[in-house]
Amino acid sequence: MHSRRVIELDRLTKRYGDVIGIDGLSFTIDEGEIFGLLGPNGAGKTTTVRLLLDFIRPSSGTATVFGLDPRSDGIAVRSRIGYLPGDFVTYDYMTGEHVAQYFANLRGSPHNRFGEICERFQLDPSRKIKELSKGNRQKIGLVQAFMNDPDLLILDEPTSGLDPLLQKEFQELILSERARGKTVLLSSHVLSEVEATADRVCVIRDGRAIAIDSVDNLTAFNTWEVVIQFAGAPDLSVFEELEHVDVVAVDDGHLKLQVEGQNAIDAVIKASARYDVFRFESQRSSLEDVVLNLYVGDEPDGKGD
Amino acid sequence: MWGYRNVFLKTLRDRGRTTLIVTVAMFATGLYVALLFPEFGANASMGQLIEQLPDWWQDLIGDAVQFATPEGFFTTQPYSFLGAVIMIAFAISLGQAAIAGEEDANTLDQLIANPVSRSTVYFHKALSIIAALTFPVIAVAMALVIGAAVRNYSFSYTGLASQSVSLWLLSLVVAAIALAVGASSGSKGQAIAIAAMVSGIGYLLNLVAPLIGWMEPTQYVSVVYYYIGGSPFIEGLKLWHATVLVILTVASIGAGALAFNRRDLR
Repeated sequence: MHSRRVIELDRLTKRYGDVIGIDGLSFTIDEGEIFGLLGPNGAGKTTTVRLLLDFIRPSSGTATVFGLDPRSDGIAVRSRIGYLPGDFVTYDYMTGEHVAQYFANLRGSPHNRFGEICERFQLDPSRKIKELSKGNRQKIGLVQAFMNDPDLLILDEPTSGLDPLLQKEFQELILSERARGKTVLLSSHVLSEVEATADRVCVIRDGRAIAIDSVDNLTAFNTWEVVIQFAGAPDLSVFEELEHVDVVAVDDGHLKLQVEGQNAIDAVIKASARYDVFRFESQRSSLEDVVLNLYVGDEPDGKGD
Repeated sequence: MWGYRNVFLKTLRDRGRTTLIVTVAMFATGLYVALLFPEFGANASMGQLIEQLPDWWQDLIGDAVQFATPEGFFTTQPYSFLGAVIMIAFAISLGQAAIAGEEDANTLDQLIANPVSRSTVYFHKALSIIAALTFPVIAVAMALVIGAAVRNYSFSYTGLASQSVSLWLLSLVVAAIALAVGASSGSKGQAIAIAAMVSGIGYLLNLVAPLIGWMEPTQYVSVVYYYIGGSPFIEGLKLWHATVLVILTVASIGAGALAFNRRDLR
């Protein structure tokens, strides 16, 4: 299937006086993609989302959604978007059912999936929102985002307040939406959730993209922690001479290594094979480790879309 | 459910309870005044008492001649005091809640995320305010008619209609200012402060300016002057006074719409 561009940001910048919200952000999201937007608090994730929905206007650069300008074609753009804000707040004196009915009326389209999504998240929509727990309020937010079967879902911290079972349910839901050709922009602090669902991610820091890549690529260049137990003490120099390998600890036949990249792993396995090996364990660091390093580390050389 | 069909109906529904309370309060005020007119307004000794007061005091409470007729009495109460104050407070409350109130409650993002334009939201809110302000104005007028019928006296219905239109227009101006300031700033506080200032200063100027020679021209900058300065109950609605109020309303709503469309939501 030919994939179409759903979101395109070109040097999008938003300044609030002297304060920079986002600075020259560029990326694209194609149809049928789950795209993770990651970054520490204040990095510019919510600013990006709010620009796409025309809540705020860019200082420079452009953003298009379905090839349209969110400002001049705002109604056409938003008619195809399901949105869940980071801090979902709605009319707390209304029931979930009435909120859904109101928004469906404003959209002018049926909310066919209302019942299905309520059931999926075990939500009783007949209760007033002020009577609901934080988790149940969040479910209302999710239901109203999905109920009109939108082509693009923009979800900011979607599983905030949900229990682990429902978080899993949410992951399954967006994966099934992707399978149906829907596009998801997922801004989240739960990096395991993004790793489990997103095809690509953009890591933002101080309003700038510091990494845009597929989850596989980002973690492929990651480090492994390797622990090997030998029958006897190996010649350490064999491992010390390997590129991108650091010997972290040695203890009577136990060797602990820090290995960077897949090629280096291969070299470690081949070097270990010269000896009798009782145990070989390796643990690849997760997307979380990569992203946390990016949050605090220097900007990587390679930037791309 | 009818109340959730669009922004206009939902806003009207949200303000339903307040509108009902204000409408009942205005009706009660009107009825009270109308039932008491024969004892107070038409009472000769009350007129003599008022005539003995200093001029400035008479100007403030209405002179004796005014008190002697229902039209004059009603001009003073409810239309110059309690009724006007209630309507101004209600108008400010509606105006500030419309956009700034939603923004303050963090529900505006969610509303605008739907495929509706900001202008649609804004004008639906404005129309709901106009509608809500109509009920108390009609209620107080009806109460006067009923009260007069019960106490068996009559007054000019044309005057009542003129005064009612004038009160409605005053409340529209005040609400439009609160709406516009709230929509352009996103601040409930600013909306309330500016609308209250325009009303309060207008009220004072209209009272004080005619008493102090050099201040007299300043009454023309008072919205309250265009409301009651021409005594619409007694002398009929002055077209240019009504026109000024309409222009102020339309200009405020228009300016608010432009600013709301252009700015970043908070």
